[in-house]
Amino acid sequence: MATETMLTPTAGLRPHTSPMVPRPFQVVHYRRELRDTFTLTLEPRDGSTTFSFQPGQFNMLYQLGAGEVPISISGDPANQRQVIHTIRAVGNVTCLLQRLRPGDAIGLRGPLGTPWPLAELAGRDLIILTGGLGLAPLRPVIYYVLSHRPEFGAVEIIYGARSPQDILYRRELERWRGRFDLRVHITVDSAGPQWHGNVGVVTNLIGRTRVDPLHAAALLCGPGVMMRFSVQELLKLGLSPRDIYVSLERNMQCGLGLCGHCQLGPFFVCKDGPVFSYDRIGAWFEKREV
Amino acid sequence: MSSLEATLAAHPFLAGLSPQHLRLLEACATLVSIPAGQTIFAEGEEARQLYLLRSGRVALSIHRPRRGQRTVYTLGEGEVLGMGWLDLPQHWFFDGRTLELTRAIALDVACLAQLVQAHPDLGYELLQRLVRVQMSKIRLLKLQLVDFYGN
Repeated sequence: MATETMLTPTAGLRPHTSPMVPRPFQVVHYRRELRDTFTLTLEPRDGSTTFSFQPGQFNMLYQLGAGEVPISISGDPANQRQVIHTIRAVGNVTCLLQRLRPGDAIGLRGPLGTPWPLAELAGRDLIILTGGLGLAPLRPVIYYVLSHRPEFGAVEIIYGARSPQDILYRRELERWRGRFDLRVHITVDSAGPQWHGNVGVVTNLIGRTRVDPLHAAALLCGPGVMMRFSVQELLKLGLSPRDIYVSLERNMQCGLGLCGHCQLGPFFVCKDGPVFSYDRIGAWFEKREV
Repeated sequence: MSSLEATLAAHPFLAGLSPQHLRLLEACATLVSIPAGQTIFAEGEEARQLYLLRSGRVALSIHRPRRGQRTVYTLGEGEVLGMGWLDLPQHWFFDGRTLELTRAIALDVACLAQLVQAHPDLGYELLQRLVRVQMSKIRLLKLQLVDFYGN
């Protein structure tokens, strides 16, 4: 006799729905961020009025008739009315998502995955280190930290992009840089003479932070090569592996740890991650042939 | 300790150098303050100074005919700008321009070359530091080549 697997809905899903069934949402705002990157603001269309998530979690976005893609949530966790996703158009589904405009329908499963452990990090100095589109999954962290600012020590944001034209959320970064309670370091790989900021890789800026390594935690999100070399610099700075958190990207398909596509050693990135502390994931992190 | 000697001692590149060595270096050192937007050197010019940056930022760029300047690296507080005193005369490989008011210790490389000839122990200390700096820069520049932020 076949046995039936009972799926436990993740927080945020309505209990009577299967976690494999997308909820209907509607695009309420489209914004072009960069040449190939855009932001969709979504609202539920199934009668529910709220959507709550924790920074670091992701949704499976379903382009009707085309397929699903895992996309990190990049909006403010305090905004429970709308869900915001910043997406790079790189594949079939994301290129179709890029064509969506206000009023169009979209399916959504989530929120899924483990969040950044922000409550546990109260009282710490923070290094938020990211590059390219990796800023999108960390933007909810920044919103959270800014709305709970007294709970944290020094906060340093380090962001790298290929060129000044590739800087994501540029206006927000400029606004954050203007704050007295935050240090924002931005660097690019190369730039024209009108750029007066840093040129070089993000790892070069880690040594310029003013955190106490014994009481600091680092939150990293970006391409694997960036995180690998940044972790090395953070360890050199004196941070403990358990205080370095990385958000991983793998081939996530079910989002529930069932299909196994995102397996990384003993972990399923979609269910056990995407956020891991480096002491847990270090042995598998950027390991070749895995 | 003179104020220049104290300034030399405070720079990360010279950290841990003995007071005798610092006193020797003082003879080759000048404190410089360079306004923002000023070209410090141009590609191909003889590199007569080694700069130990104390504050501010310097952009290193390459001029491309019909396409203008392209900044490939910026240096800031605590970093070293220049190639040293070996195999003189050295020539700048990039254009160097200050992005903001920049304060630095300028070490005259001809003076340094004579100094390290006369004091090989100081030469060894400085060479060790310079190699470390250059290795770190090579590593960073290699990372810049691999599309660090692309997926």
